[in-house]
Amino acid sequence: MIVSASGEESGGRRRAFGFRRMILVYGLVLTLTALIVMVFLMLHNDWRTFRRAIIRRVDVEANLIAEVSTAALRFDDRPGLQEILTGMCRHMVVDSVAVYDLSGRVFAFYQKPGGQNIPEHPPEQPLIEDKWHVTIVRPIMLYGESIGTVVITRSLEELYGRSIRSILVAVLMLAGSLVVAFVASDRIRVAITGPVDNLIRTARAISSTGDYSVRAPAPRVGELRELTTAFNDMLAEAEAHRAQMEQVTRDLQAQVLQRIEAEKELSAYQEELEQRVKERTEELSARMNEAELLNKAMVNLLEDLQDTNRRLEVTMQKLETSNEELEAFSYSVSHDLRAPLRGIDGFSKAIIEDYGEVLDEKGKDYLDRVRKATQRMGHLIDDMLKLSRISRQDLRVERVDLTHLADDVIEQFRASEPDRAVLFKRDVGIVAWGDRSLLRIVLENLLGNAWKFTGNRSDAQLEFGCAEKGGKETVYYVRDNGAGFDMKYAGRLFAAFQRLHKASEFGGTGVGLTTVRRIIHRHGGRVWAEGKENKGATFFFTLK
Amino acid sequence: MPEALDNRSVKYPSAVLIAVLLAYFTSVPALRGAEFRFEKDIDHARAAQIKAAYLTHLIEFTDWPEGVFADDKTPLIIIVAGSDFYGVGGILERADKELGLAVQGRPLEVRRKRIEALTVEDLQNVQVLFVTEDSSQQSERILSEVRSLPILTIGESEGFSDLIGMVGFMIDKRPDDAEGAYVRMRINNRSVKNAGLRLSFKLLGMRNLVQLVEDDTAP
Repeated sequence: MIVSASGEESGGRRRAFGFRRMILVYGLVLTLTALIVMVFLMLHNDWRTFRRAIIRRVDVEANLIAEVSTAALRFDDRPGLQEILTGMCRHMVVDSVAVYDLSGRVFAFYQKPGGQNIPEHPPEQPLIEDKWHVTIVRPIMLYGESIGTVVITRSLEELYGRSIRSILVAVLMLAGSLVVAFVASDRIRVAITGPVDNLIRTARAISSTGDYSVRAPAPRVGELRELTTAFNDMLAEAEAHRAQMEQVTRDLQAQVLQRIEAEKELSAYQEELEQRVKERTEELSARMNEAELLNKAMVNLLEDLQDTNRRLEVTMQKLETSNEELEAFSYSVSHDLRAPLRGIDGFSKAIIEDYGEVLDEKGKDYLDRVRKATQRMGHLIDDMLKLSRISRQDLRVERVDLTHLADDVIEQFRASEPDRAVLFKRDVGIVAWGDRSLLRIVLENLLGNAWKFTGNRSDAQLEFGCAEKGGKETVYYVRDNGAGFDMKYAGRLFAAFQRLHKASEFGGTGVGLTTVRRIIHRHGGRVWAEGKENKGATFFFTLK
Repeated sequence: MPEALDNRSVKYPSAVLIAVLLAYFTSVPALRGAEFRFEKDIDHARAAQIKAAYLTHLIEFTDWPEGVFADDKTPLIIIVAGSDFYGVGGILERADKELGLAVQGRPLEVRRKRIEALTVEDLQNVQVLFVTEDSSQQSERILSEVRSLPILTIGESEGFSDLIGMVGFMIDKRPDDAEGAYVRMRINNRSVKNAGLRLSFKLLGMRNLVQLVEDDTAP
């Protein structure tokens, strides 16, 4: 690993160096070639152009001098032309100027100090060029007639100087461009090999440390950015894969461990289970024995129970039969009792009417008492019949307005005892589902009781209302502020013929509340009472 | 100067003219004797040659307005007014007749007139009027009559150009050569311009040979 890493490193360095040298060499060769060609062309062109320009200029100067010389030549003004030439040539870049007359002798001349010697006669060729000089020969014309010749020689030193300067500039440019090329190639190398180096370094770091979270820094732009980004993406993917792999391995390890653990536990469980099975088996066999015993007992018990049940059924049948018999008996008795009772009452009345004069006061009183007793007995029998009828009658369930019913009942009481001042309070809209005639009997009895037991109070107050109890059942109540009762006798209130008060105190047969209870029971409801002696009583009932 | 005139080539007519003039004057002793009449140290014969040459050269460096010549072959007419004591007119006549001298590409035509008899009509279609030494005093009348005509007026006397005349010859001793004659020109450029003529700058630029009259008050 280490060996291969160092090998890679030297390879990377070599590669980087290779990049650099390649770029540098190519850059330099390209730049140098381009520059040299350019400089050469430039120099050549410059040389030619400048040379041509110089010749043109000298030509112009020759023409000018020829033009100026005409008059002087014509008028033979040698000193004048000499003066003019000297004046003119001082401002010209010429080596020498010579004006020849028609005979080819020097007429006037100008010679720069150290300049070329003036030829004795004008040369034949119009243009003479040598290495260092250019000479132009022009005839001096006047009206199409040559009157002389002008010869101008000019040094090309200027041209050489200029070329040397151009070469110097070119060399400087070359040097400058070399430096620029060097720097640029270095920059390019950094731009190219920098990211590549980064990639290599990153790859090496990853292979040596195994840390896939390392990322190569991406350059700002270019294909290398894409390359680096792609590399980084690849790394990210590899990292993700690796993480996944690690996760899977970890999971597998955990699973294997779990399995081993589970196997251990399993074997422990098995042992325990075996133990338990053994224990249980023993226990079971013990239990089985017990169960057998129990079973036997149960069978016995069941047999007993069946026996008891059978007996109970027989008893029930007996009871029902006896109950029916009883009811039939009581009905028939009540019914049958009426006839003799009517006889007693009738005959007692007949005795008083027919034999009233015969009887003394005492006899009359007895008879009177007989009659009263028979009448009371008649009431009793009526009530008894009514009660038995209620037990036998079928229920006709309908919606009943209890408020209305209560008002009706109170109205009836008021009519029978108009002297009494009784305050009656009732809630409005009390409704119930039940048998209208039976519920009327309930209210007649309860309100009747209240009416009866407030008889000795001047501020008698009756109240009928209802209250929801626990949201489920509706509790109706009838309250008065009459005689009330001792709560220890509350249990006896609803038993037949049980009176808490003497008949002389409050009238009644003692069957009313029994009737009430029976009706309420038939409606599936309950009835109970609360009270206190002389503090009034409240009767509650519910209906299903 | 004499060496310069020694060229024999027929290609150069003015040079030929000068050569002829030289030969002529050396063979005229009468004229030679005349030079001693005035100033012993001036070679008047040579001066006349020079004057004749200068006259033709002056023509070469003069521009006449358009329309003065009918066509390219129209001769250039010179009137020589006066007695022509020094023989300048004669030289010109001879050069014209014997050599077919052409100036500005035109043949020369030399006419002689007496200054007193000269009228404006005589000067119609004439381009040059040369007034010789003796007639200079009488020239003022005709000069004032033709001063607005395109005629180059040249006088042999020095003061000719100080009034209305255009060019006057002067004879000096050469500053560099005590022996030879030195002919110079005194030019009244105002008169030249008034006549609608133009002298070349090349001519006017020869400071040694040309003196300009700076007389703004002159008519």
